Amino acid sequence: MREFLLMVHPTTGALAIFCAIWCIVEVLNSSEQNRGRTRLAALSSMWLMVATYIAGGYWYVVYYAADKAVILKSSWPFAHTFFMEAKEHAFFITLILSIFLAIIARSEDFVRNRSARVLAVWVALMVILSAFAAEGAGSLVAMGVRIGLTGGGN
Amino acid sequence: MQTFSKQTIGYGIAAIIAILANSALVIIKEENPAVKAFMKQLLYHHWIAHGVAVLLVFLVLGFILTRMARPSGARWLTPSLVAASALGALGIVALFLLE
Repeated sequence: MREFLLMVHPTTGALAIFCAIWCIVEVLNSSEQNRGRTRLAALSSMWLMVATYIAGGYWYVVYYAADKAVILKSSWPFAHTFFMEAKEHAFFITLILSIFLAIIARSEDFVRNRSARVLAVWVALMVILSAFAAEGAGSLVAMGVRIGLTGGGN
Repeated sequence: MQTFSKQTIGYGIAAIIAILANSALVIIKEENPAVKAFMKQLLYHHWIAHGVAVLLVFLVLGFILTRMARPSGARWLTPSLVAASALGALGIVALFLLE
């Protein structure tokens, strides 16, 4: 169960990134025909990011303490003190932006409104960039645990 | 003139405020152990309390501001949101880099 939960949140996070990219493609090709798809892409990105929040948050609150102890005793303490700390707090920016993207997609007419298209593309780009940074930080945290357990990294 | 909807303006301003409030709360709780302990006491873990507080700021403020807003051009919205996101992220990164 623990390993499953650990794998769920980077997976849903990556899928949320794909949906944000999909949303950009739909917004840049806005027409009367793809309104539904644009909203579906933004909504999927938002719900996948919410799933990431819940799965990642549950794992962090319930299981992370043991990993944290291993990392802090390793030669890579910065995997927790910088990467995990920054990731766990900066993630809220990603979450807020992904919810806002769904609100924009629901309330704006991308076919006629260039300003709305520009805003949606910027918001989706920031979701993608910040979520990629979180994925990268997560892999460094995992590497910190590995180094702590194997005694490598010296 | 191309205008944003009331929802986009209301939740856009709320997003800017919530993102900056998120970074401010990180700095406040990391610099004041009593605040962190209070947040932990409130909702079992400081991170749960932090997330709930930031999401409440965004959703409640967005709901209220949507009712107060009018559709408008709001040319400042996109650059302000980008700047707030960059500033919020950089604030968090700088805090843990310098600690």
